[in-house]
Amino acid sequence: MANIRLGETAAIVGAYEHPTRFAQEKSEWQLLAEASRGAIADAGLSPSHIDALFVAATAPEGGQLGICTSTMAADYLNLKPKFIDETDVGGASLGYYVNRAVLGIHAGIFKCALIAYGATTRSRRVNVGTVSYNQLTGTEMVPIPDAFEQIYGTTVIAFMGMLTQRYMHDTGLTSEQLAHVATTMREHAARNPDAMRRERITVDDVLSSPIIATPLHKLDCCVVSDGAGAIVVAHPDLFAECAKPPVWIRGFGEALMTHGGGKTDWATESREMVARACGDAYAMSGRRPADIHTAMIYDAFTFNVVVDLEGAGFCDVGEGGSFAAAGEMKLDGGSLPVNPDGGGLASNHPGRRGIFMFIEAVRQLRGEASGRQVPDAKIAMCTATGAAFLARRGSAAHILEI
Amino acid sequence: MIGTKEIVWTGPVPSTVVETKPFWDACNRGIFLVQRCRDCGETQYHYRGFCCHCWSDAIEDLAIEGAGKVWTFSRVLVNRSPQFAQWGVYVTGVVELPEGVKVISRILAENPETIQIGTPVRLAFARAESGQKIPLFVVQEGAIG
Repeated sequence: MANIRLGETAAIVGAYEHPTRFAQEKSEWQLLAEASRGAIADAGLSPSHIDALFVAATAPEGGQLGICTSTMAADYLNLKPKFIDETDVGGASLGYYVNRAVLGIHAGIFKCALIAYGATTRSRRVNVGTVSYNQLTGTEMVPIPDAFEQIYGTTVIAFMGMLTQRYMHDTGLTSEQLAHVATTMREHAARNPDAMRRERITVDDVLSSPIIATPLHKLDCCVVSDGAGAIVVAHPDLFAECAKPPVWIRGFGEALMTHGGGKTDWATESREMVARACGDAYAMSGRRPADIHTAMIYDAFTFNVVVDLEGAGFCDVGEGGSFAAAGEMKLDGGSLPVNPDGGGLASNHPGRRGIFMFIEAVRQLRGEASGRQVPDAKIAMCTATGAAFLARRGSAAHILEI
Repeated sequence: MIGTKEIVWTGPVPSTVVETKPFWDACNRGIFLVQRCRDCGETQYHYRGFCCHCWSDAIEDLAIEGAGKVWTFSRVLVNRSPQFAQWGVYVTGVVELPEGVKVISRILAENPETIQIGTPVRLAFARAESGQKIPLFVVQEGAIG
């Protein structure tokens, strides 16, 4: 019963995506500050309203912010929040912060949370997907579990390759279907002036791009950009002061998967994890997949989109690939426009893309996404899966409404 | 032919802690250990000091027979870490063991392009410069084609 009230607790009142994709002249901290300032200004509030701070680390993707992340960010921003958190579930972390912000507001601990992220991954030339985790994170190999796994050359993309390979085997998903995900994201990015890759590509372009780790081609993988974004989550008491209508967080869920002592079926469990997170979000909001007008799906790889389409119930298991290939995700004529901004495959992906999904959802629901607006979008879903190492992963799902 | 001569390990060597040292010491004797719980009967990998299924301490070592099948794999064409510079194109994968666990490992084959899900593999060990033996799996002769 308490869950129903959670869906009436808080809303996103400010959102800002930094337009940069390459910020060689700036630090991560500056980008973080500029995005925070933008989100607070968009809300019509001031930094003095912020009493909770959630900041994502960058060090796990080769950045400089990683120890006591939110405390150090508060110091740089000169904020004194009464509540902080920096839960780390890779790129999905930002969604986890939204959940924690709603919970803290529901509990009466704070009223106005700033959730922010900024990274200069591209200008520092970090090879996020194609180096060992130890090199990427600048950490020593630990005996558990690294020593049993990382010595075998398990890069991020090698892991996703293994997962994709098995999923194809189990469900009949094809590389050509995955390529349609990439072409759709480019098609959307062409309508987003800030997107990093705006040139159209064909299915053949994807399939003939170099293999990084089978079965994944270069164009199955997200871009590596610089970037920053922030949102403000507030208690209804603040709405009267806000500049724009609130975007309600009507439902959320989160779920984890692990290696399970060597028992886990990585492929099936990846989808089931998304289904658990989405199931809770649907239950809390009272919505169903058919109610969703547009979906923001974390697309670090083309494959993630297929898993999330199936896990969220937008199509049956085994039909995510044909859903993509049939154009159902397209702004033009699709039944469920996915990532109108171009997503991580084409717009931006500094390492933890979760924040940008909320920002695009807010723009769509407010009707501010000029050039790529989903007509009459009132209900949006965000699904994100982030990784710790290999299949130790977490998913977050959200239903937002205006 | 893989398997007739000693395989040299050129990748990173495992770090160890007292809890995991028995696993790596066993490797040096040509033994790959999974664990079985005397309370719940489940097996587990990787090696650890308690049963992750029922949280019992009553676990015992179980030397695997050595057979396995490829559960999934990826042929890695791009790894920019200097630690792996000597590997060229390699196959990392998950091997399903009849002992009931799946193991992340490296898979060697004379023709890596022919590896598929379900391909039979056999336990082998490579020797690092330090002398540490590293377990990996080799596609069995005649298993393909």
